[in-house]
Amino acid sequence: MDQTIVYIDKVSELVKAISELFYQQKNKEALAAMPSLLDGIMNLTTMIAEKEGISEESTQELVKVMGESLVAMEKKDYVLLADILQYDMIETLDRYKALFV
Amino acid sequence: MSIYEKNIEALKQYMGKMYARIEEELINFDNEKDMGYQVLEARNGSMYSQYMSEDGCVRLNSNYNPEREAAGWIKQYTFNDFKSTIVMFGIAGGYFAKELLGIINESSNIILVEPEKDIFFKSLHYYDMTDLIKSDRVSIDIGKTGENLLSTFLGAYVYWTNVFSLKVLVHPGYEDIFGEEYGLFRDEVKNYSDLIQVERNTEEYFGKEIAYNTVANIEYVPDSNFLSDFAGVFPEETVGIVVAAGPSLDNNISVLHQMKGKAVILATDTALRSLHKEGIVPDFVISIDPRKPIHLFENAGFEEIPFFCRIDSNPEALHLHRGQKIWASSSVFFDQLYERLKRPVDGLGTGGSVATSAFSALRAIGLRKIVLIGQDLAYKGDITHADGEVSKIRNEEKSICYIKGNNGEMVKTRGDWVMFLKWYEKVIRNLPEEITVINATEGGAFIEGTKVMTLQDVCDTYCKENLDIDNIIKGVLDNRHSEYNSEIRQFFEECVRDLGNMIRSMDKAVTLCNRFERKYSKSRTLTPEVSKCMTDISKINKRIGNMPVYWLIDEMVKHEDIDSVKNIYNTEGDEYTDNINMIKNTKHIFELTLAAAKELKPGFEEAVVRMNA
Repeated sequence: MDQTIVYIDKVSELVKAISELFYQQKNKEALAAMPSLLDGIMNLTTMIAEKEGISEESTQELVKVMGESLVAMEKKDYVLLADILQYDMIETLDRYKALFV
Repeated sequence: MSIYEKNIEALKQYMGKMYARIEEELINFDNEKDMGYQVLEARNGSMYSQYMSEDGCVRLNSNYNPEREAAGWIKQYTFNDFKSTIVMFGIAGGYFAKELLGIINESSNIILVEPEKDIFFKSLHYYDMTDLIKSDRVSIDIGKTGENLLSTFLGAYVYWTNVFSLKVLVHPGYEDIFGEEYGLFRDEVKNYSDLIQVERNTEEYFGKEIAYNTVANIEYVPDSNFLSDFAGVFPEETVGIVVAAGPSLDNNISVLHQMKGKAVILATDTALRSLHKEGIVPDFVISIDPRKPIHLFENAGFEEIPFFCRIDSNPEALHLHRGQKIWASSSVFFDQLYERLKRPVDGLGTGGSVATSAFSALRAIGLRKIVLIGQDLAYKGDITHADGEVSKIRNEEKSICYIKGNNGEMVKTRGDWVMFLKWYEKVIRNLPEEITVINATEGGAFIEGTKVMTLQDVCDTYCKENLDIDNIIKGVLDNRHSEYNSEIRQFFEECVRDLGNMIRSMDKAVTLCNRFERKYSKSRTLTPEVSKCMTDISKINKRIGNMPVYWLIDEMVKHEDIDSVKNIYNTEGDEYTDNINMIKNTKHIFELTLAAAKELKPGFEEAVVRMNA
């Protein structure tokens, strides 16, 4: 299996775990895990950009969703942050996964 | 039918009293008005709530998928214990409450508190709350925190046997919007929990005594009066004075001479001797403690003063007393007699002390101005009571603290007094506007909600006219309810017969428990034979539980083994282990019940003979 797919799965798991923590109002724990997620997303962005046939626009999708997450985090709107992660981020990751299958 | 109509129909049918209370406001509620609370459509088509304030928007639900959010939120909780109570601050659209209802077991309850009525009213228009409204495991309190209902619900579901499984939750976002109300809510739940613990300690401490005192006092029940006999008999403007025995009583007790006949003077048992020394005869005396030392009543002019007492008050005091006893019910056992006589129960909110009970008594008889004297709830130097008395409690030093005094200074107090003070403050907060509580202690701790005055000022302002209090009281006492005597005697005679039946039934129940344990240990499953044991045990339990005298035996059993009683509701999560533990605890309680019934029966028989003599 493409290593990128494995990595996407791991990032997805982390996204779901963090969003669950936010839904449970365990904001401190969730925020503590966010830097790991950010690193994961950055790495993933690089891996995706290096794949042949993928447009630059596509790679920016993930960055855009991450940006929206950070805005929600700054506003301390943790329910919105959880929603962005649970729905928009996972949706984007699933789309990328399809490109590597 | 619209969502709103469904909700209203459900409220009318399942929460009729609540609906009656809010009906007018609900009808006049303008759903379109601009308010902080907003209900909007989420991305998945469901409705979601948010709250707009000057500080910005507080999200109360996910605007993507509120159901999924609530499902994620509930995963952090497990509620395995039987008869647990979960109190949740905030309802909004009910998503979180519904998830909560979905995971608690059949024996547990939820109390939902919505601090802002308009939020509830608006939610009724957009959210189907019928599941919550129809459920007999859900109670709803709406409006400003402190409107009594929360205490009522807690009182209905939380006892010392299950207070350990009381959980407090808050709807996401509510703490941000209603910080102050949330603080008050948490305090109320904590205070109730603390009071329950005191009651548990009291019952553990007094358990057997309560039963023995009750039996000893049975002979005084015929030809007596009830607290509610005095409801509404005094003129509307009558002042009621609670004479407690704090050290400041020495300073103003003499003023009472001017108030005799113009106010109702209710003395606590601890204040009797001070009053007697001063030559003042109170209109009533009250005593509730099962072990109150008899010396407080001796040589204190106590014998003929109309006496507010409980069925489990110190029998030595009731024996010494020659005048009219006035029952203020305290126990579940004695409440059964009220039911038999078709009288409303005189439930006295005790608050933990004789003075707080006295306050409750004056409220119960309808007085609108209640004056506290001698209610220091603080030290005066090292002195704790009038006449320079010092009375210590266990671990007193650990609970010493300083609080605001009536004269503006900081006063030294201790844990139990702080608890009584908080009780007063909570009760006063919930009083109707026309009730005034005046603290004329002239010293001691400040009680929030009271009007601070000197007793002389109270006298000069409110006690100008002679109201002939003595004659009013005499008029009530002359009706001794002889019409109840036949029913009273029958009730207690039945108790004796029930004790006999209880002994036989408990013997059988213990045998059934042994059989259950033997068979279940072999089968490890609930075979028909094992299940039949459970059914027969339940039938016996139900039969015993319906006997009025069961409640007296219950006091004795709790005294013997409070942990077994409590552990009945604990679970480990494994069905076999839970069942075996439950049957072992149950059998132990049956054995204690059997022993208690055998112990109490002879005394009860003698008491009935004395009553009938």
